[in-house]
Amino acid sequence: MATNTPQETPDWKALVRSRLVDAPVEEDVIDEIVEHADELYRSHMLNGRAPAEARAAVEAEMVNLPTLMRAARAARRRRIATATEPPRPGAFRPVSAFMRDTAYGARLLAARPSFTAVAVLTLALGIGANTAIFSIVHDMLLAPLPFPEAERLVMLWEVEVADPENPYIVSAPNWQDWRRQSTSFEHAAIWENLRFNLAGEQEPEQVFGMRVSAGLFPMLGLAPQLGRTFTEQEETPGHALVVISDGVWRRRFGARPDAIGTTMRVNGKPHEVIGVMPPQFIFEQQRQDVWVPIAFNAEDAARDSHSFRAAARLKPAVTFDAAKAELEAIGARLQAQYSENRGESATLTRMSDMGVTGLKPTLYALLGAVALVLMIACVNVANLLLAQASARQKEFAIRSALGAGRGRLISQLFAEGLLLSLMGGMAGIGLAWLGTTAVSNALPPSIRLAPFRTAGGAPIDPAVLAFTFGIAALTGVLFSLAPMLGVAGSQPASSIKGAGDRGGTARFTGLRGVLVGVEVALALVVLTAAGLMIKSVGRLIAVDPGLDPRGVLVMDVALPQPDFYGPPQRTTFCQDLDARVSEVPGVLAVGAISHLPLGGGTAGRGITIEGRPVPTPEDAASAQYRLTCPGYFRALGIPILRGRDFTHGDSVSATGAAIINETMAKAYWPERDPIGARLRHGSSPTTANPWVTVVGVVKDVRHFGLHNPMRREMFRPYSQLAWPSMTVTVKAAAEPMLLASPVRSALRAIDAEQPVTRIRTMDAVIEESIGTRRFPMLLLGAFSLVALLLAAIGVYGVVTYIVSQRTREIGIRMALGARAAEVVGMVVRRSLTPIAAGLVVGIAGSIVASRLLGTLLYEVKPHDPVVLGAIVAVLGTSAFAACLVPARRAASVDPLVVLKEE
Amino acid sequence: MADKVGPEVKGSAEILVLALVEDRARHGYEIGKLIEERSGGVLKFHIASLYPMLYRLEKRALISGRWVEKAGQRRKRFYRITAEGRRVLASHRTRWEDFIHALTRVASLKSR
Repeated sequence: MATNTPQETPDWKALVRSRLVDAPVEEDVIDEIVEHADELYRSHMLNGRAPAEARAAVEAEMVNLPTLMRAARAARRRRIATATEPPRPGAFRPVSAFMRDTAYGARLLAARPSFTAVAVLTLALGIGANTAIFSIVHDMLLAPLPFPEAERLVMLWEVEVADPENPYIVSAPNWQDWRRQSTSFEHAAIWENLRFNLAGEQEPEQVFGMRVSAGLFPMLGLAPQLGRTFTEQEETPGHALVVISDGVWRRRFGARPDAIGTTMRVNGKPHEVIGVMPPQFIFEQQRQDVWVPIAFNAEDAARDSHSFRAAARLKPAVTFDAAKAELEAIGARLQAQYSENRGESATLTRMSDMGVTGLKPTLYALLGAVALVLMIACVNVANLLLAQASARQKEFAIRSALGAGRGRLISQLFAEGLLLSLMGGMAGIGLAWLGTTAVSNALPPSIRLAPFRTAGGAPIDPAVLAFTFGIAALTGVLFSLAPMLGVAGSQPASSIKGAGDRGGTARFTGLRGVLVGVEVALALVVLTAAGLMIKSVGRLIAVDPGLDPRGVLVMDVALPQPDFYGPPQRTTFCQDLDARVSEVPGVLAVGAISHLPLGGGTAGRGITIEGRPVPTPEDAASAQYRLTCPGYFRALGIPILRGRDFTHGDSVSATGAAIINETMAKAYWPERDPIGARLRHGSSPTTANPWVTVVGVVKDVRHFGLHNPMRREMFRPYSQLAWPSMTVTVKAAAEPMLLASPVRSALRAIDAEQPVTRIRTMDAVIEESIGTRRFPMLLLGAFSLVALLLAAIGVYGVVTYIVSQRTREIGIRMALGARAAEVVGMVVRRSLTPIAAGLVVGIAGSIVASRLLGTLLYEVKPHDPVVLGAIVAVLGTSAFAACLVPARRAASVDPLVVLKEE
Repeated sequence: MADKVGPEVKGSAEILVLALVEDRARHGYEIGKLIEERSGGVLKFHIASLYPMLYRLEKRALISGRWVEKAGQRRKRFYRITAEGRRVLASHRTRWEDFIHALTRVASLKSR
């Protein structure tokens, strides 16, 4: 064994010189090379090499020395002598470094367009959908009403003691007693929603309006923008005054200030315009245009004539509960005092709940679904970033080897994550804007026209946007730092070589499996909700409405008269209608009704049936009450089971006639033929209304919506009893909308001041009636598609990752003879574990969550096994397909290539 | 130049040197040694390739060499980075990172 001592160092200088014959010589360079050779030689010797071996190794490096020398000389000669000042130590500028990181991050994201697009789109969908739905819900449920100190505003109702959940509108005498006896109210008001015909120099129009008590405007705390409102003295009949909306003021008066004091024809009578409300005044529906004094009439004086809505403003110190208790106590006293009030009390609700209580299930269901979509989106972005993290292990190892510090790497990842989130956020704002507009427009009228809501749709709520964006950004930034976990755990050198992947990234595998499971579970919940809604709506559409909507055109006409419910002033309305409209070519039948089935309106009446005993007031007979013109049943295809339709002979002077539906016939004449039986309006034993005779029985119609049961219905001829507005029904031989214009002209010919509004088909009416369910179904369906897509992307990403991690193993297996099918099976089996776990958790979750759909479902149970089974199958198949693609790719791995990589 | 890496690395080898002399001055042997160690043996420079590169860098004023003599030792030439060198390093790093990223993407696509 040779003695490896430095003393025996070869004479490197001589060696170098010997190789530099005929070459320029730079002494400095020779010194440098000699020094290098020396160190190299010593290093070889220290590593246990023999001197000859070490010397040979050093000599092997000394090739091309003349070239080196020439290069050195050239370099030295033309050396740039403008070396600048060396930088001061510690002159690190974090801001510019961050800017540089951001610019670098942007380039990196641009270099991975598909990853960036998917991540940004995912974030945008989550942020956009959430912001849109939250904004609408906020506008509908949470935003305060547009009145000063609106939290003090309450609605007053009558209520049956036996049925406290369904309060109803009030009678004037009761309201007057409440107001007198209560000490809780600062202001109280009463009003009735009506339609009015406006006429004058312009086109006649029908508008919504109210007759109101003087207290209404002070109670709301809003003053007119012009003129004044009513005084209490003007509440008595005989004051032809009108307060108009900003819209009417602009339309009919050109926004002229001198409109105050002028007269306008309201329901055919001149009224003095005394005030103009401000443009933003919405009470309680957005389309109110005129307000006239309440002018209580004889009918209003009846304690059982429930016609009015009532509201009050609580005194500042009075709580809602205290006021409610006081009103209930008053209601109990009145019940004891008046026989008409038997079984009835009074109650309070918050004005802000008005009209939206019924919408809450829909809105909360959408809110829940959209929150799940946001969670899925976040999980998906996390998954995508983790996948990137494992793919970038080598990159980070190399950069760490190049001297990039941990802080620098984190800062750069942070910048990248932030950039990604920002891009997602920007796209999300765009989607939120589109979504809010689209959803607002798609809202069925039952939701869009809820009280106190603005017509233009909900504005994007900045707080909501900030919140959803914050969550998405947090996810983006948190998970973008994932590659650092890998860098911390592995040696740069081994990562660069590719051998150390498993050490650094194995920890992601478990986390990503969990994320996939979560994603599948969340998607299952959303999909199930959508599935249940689709089944519900399907069931609903299949319900027979009891009428034939095909080819039916309907339109509203107002028939105002001073005594709202007395005998009609326009006695010949039905005759004129028949004469004029029947002549229009293409019209098969024409009629009219006061409350169109599925149109949302109804009226009820207490009645007395001849010969039917009424032991207690609770046994009193009652029925839904409608007025029709002859031909109505034929136009809507409603079969007359017994007896006859009304004729023009059923006039005021003839005997009173009534037609009843099947349900009413079974309820009150179970044993006999009701034709010829007699009944009269009013349930009080002392009523003196004339008897009317049942002349016909018609088939039941789903008046109250396809999902609601039938009720007792009674029809009376319009020619005997008036109603302020009627819906004309026209059966067309062909496309009904083609008749809109000729029928409108025919109606004009009857009365030029007669506005015709809301021309639509009966199909549209039915469609609208199921809108409250169809709308959430469509949105849930859209959300569930997004959820399904995101879940599939998530599964695909994870399986691809698992396969990439196991490429070597797969290669070895295949080299050892494993068949492609076995490899596919192995990969799929491994991937199915988190998917199966997700499905199980998702089934449990969706059973719980679907209960929240509750009243939105129609004849479908929240745990409907068919729906649940179908959804599990769809989701399972999609997930399976998503793992099959990378699994098959794994099976096509060339063993040689894989093994060579090592 | 080492034979373990392809031509694509050659043009960018300067960044390795700049990075190594970024924080403190090092002599030629040390630079070659560190590149080999830190790259896990993937990158290796011979005398014949290392010094021309150092001189080129010095010529472009990205590094500056200085002889240092210590008692009892042979004098050594230490190289340190210049202000211009730092600027070039920073921009190289960014471009280099893009390049590595591109490489990584291509490489990982191939390996799947």
